[in-house]
Amino acid sequence: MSEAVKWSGLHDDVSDVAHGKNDSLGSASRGMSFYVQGELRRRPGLTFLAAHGGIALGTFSSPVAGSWLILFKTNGELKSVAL
Amino acid sequence: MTTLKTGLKADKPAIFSTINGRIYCSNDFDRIQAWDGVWSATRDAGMAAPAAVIGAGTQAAGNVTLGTHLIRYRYLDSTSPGGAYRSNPSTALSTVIATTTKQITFSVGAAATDIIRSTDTKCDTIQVEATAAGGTDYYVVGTLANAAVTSYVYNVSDTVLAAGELTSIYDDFGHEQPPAGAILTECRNYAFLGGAHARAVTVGVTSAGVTVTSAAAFSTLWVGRLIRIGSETTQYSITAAASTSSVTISPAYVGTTNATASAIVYAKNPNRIYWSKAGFPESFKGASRVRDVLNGRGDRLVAMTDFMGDLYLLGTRSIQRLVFVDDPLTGELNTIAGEFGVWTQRCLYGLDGALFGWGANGAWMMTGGRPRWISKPIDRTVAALIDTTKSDQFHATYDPKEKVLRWHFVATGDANPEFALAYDLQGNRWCIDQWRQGIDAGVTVANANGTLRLAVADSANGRAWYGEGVTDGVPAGSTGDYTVGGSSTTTVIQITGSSLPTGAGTDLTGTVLYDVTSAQERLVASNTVSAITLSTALSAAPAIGSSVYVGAIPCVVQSDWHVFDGQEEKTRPPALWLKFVPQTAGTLRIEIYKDFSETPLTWTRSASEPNPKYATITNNGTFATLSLTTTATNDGFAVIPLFADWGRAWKYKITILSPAGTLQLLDAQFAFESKKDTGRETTE
Repeated sequence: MSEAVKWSGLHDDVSDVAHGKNDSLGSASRGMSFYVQGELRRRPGLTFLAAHGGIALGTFSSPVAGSWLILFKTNGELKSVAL
Repeated sequence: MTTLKTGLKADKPAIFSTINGRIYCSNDFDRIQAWDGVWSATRDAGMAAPAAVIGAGTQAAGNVTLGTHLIRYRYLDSTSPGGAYRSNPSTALSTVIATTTKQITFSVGAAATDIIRSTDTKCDTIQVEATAAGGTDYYVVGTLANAAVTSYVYNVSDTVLAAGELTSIYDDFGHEQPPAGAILTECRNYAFLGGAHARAVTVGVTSAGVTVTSAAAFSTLWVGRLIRIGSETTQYSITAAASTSSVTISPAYVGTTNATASAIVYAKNPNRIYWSKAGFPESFKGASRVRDVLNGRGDRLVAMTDFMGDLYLLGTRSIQRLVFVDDPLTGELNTIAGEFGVWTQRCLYGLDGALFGWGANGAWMMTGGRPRWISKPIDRTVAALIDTTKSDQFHATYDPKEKVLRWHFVATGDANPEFALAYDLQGNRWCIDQWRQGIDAGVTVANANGTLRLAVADSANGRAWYGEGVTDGVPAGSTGDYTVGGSSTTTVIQITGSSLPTGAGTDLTGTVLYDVTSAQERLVASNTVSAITLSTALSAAPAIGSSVYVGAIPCVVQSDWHVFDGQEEKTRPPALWLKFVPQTAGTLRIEIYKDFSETPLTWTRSASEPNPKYATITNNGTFATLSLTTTATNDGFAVIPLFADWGRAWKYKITILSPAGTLQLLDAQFAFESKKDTGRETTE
């Protein structure tokens, strides 16, 4: 067995993910993201923000107006959500 | 939650841009919408000029100097930055003050008066302007409110007038309302607008007629655009747009009368950009602040952005840079070497002093003069997944906590962006993220304390989410891994053994349920503490004791092919070693592939043969199941025994379907126990 196959984990400094090497996890990792320390884990999940969706989002904030999320909805509405 | 506007065209994602303390929304159909965070609703950007010349008014004895004066008025928005946003002026009236000095009293009202109030809610002030006798330079005579006031008196001498404000300092006629445009951005205090969508509409045409009708499918801002009926070879210019249901074309229609003809409306110059007066993002001038870009590139303009003080103009596979000091019209257009571009404006992201983009030739990063290809390791994989016919839905998001930049895309067979290329900025590494629901848009938001968070939206299911949490939409107090109880149906699933989270915003509504048995996904319409109601039925009611996952993040780790000592040598790895952080929940599926096949190998196990430690193998199944729960008491090391098969290339695929647990994978490796498993194939 070649030494090349001894992949010893995904450490930040040595891993060569997605560079086409036979011993890397490769470019086909889905649903995963990296810890800086070099571990593979799930991507972050989702936490409720508002009961409306949109096909475009904007954000706006000012000292007077506060912070807002703006949703552009498929029914042609623009909605604002206070953050 | 406040509704700021209704009735906008929403067949394409709008583009947002914040300029000078207002956020603007452009969709290449309606007037650009402006909002300042205080108004109860958005307002059309810019202000229309007074439609008619100022009336003559009534003269009486006063202070206006003898001679011929030009008098006009315009509208102002005093809530704008500096109170300076304005309309173009009305047509000027030439008024002669004869014999003695006079004052002129103008009537003011909504109609049939000398000065007509604006109906634009942004306009709160009317400014009256005049020249000195015989002069051509306009000065501000004074202002009046755009409401309640019923008359205004011009009663200043030329000496006083000339001591006032010259109107030319604000560019007298450079305050047209913004035209329609698909892309809106700011650069060096100018608002730039450009790009255009081609839109399919059903129209009514009459042979030899110049009027084209539709069921309110036209934009009144489409004057100057072209319309093509069906696949005919004649293009017609839209010369007037009287309403959303009727436009005038030139030349007259040469085809046959058709009440329901298919048509495409598109821009004559799709690579044309317009810009505002500097510092006046709502003031345009179509005749002179305009320029065509990407000439000679055979490409179409899809994005613009400010980067390092220059305006970058991006096509799908080309980039130009507009370098200018005072006037974009005379600025230098430099073509950036290379074939990079972006799918849409939303695939650009400026971050950490760099500009990132993703287009048909891959993802790139630019820190200086030209882009550098960064997605080489993943391009082949992504190219096999994406549906480029839905590239309008592709977009970038940035997770400020994870420091991950993602480009969301629609995979072949999907309707919404459920996948994303994820680029870890700290490690410069790639993976592909996946959701059960579409992530249709995202933006990095800051709350009042300045905390940055990623907000995303699932349009199809009507939810906005923060991009953080354990499982998708499931409160942290619940695992999302549930056991089906008795009396479940295809739409109402009873849950046993755990209590479901309830309450508005903290229940499971809007999440996606995965039925493990049938591998079907369904939107959760609502839930009680013990039952989940689905929006559409499963093909069969889940059996008692089976598992359903809610909010699960499907998670796949797939190795590249292991060829080991070369393809001339066959190998027979007897085991797959897995190392992970020990935990108390979750399951993995292990699939093994051989010799570049895309079909996983079949696992065999006789009825009398025990399952290996921690793992479960179903005879003739295509995967082994590893329980992380049962490995929790050890050190997080598991050995999955493999096959007696010989092969020249091997690959493993690890899938985590259950939302329970927080897998952190440390290592995965094919293991050899002896030399006899490599090299020459044996007949054993």
